[in-house]
Amino acid sequence: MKFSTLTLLPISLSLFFLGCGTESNEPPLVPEILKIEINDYNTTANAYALYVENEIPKTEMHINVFYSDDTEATATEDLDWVSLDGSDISQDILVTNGEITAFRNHGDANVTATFREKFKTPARHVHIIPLTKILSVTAQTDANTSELTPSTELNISVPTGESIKMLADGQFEDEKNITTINQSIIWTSSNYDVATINSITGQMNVIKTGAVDINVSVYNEVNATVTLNITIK
Amino acid sequence: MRVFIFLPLFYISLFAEAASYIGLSLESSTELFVLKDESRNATTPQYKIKAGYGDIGAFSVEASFSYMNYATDIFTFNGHDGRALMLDITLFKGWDPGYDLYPYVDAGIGMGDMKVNRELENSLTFSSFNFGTGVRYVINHTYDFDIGMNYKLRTWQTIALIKDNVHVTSHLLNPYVGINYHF
Repeated sequence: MKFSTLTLLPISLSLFFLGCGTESNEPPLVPEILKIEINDYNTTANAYALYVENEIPKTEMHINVFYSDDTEATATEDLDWVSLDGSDISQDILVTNGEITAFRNHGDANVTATFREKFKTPARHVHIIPLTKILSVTAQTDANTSELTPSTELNISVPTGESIKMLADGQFEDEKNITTINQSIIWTSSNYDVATINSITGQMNVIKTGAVDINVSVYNEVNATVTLNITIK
Repeated sequence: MRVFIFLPLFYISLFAEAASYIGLSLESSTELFVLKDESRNATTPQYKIKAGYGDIGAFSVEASFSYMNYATDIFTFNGHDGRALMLDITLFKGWDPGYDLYPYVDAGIGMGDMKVNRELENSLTFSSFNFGTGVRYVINHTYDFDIGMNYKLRTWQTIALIKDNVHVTSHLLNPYVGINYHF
């Protein structure tokens, strides 16, 4: 008797448990990603050919993430930004965390963002706003700062052993000005017997009295030359 | 040196009446899934096969393999969540108060995975801590019936939502019945 009672108990409970189970048709507790889009993807994102902190900002893009629970979020990180030409990035621009950095003075790219190769945004066109001209070149010594327009001359006296710092300002196609260009710039001296110049920094070392043409070139495309008549005191 | 002598003796005393067993159990798993401030309940039958070794009146250890077929909408957007397979290792402490009844408490760990239908995940892994209590009724030298209650704290694999990663935990309460064959 005891055996049969205790045998029936688990069998009854088993049948009860087999009847349990929840089947629901609710939206998932963890929302699903439906799609991702670059913000304003049907407009062109303009990016300046040069970037200067606090002066020429980098153009930023982000993606909008749409979820199954009708919510949205914006994101910039953990995405792979690629150009549509199939390479990791176009030769003209680099997009990192949504920020566009230009590598050429001219260029266009169609950019998409992907997430784990599963989600891909529609493309957004990116246009590089080129630098069109050098507005002025500045020769800076410990004692003086002289600003020259391109193709002009400057008579300058420097003590023996003193250097001259060269700086350049420019203007973009949309007439926005940029001061102190410090990327993609190359300085050259026409006469290294009179003065040498660091091609990147524009720092000149005066060697002897004489005239020298200083050329500045941005992206090997936008150029300006000034003539310095140097006198060593 | 004494430790090396007493430890084996202690071990032998724990399993003085040790035997192996295999068994089956059927559980009704009520699971509370929690995501941030939201939660959802689901009840799913769970089927378990198990193998253990030890003295049910003292200590025993058990490995079990379980199957659940979720019909829930916790993770899956189109359709339902799918089957889950789990492996648990559990340590039992039992007593022998007489009347062929052997009450026990148990604690263990487990891991498993569940089929889901999401864009970025086809399955989700999880791990769990298990605690339980129950009683075995020994019918004869070969069989015992087992009835008990088990609680599991389950931590699910991180799910990527691009902007955020979300972490789901779930709390399971499993009343169960089972039968074990000793040899």
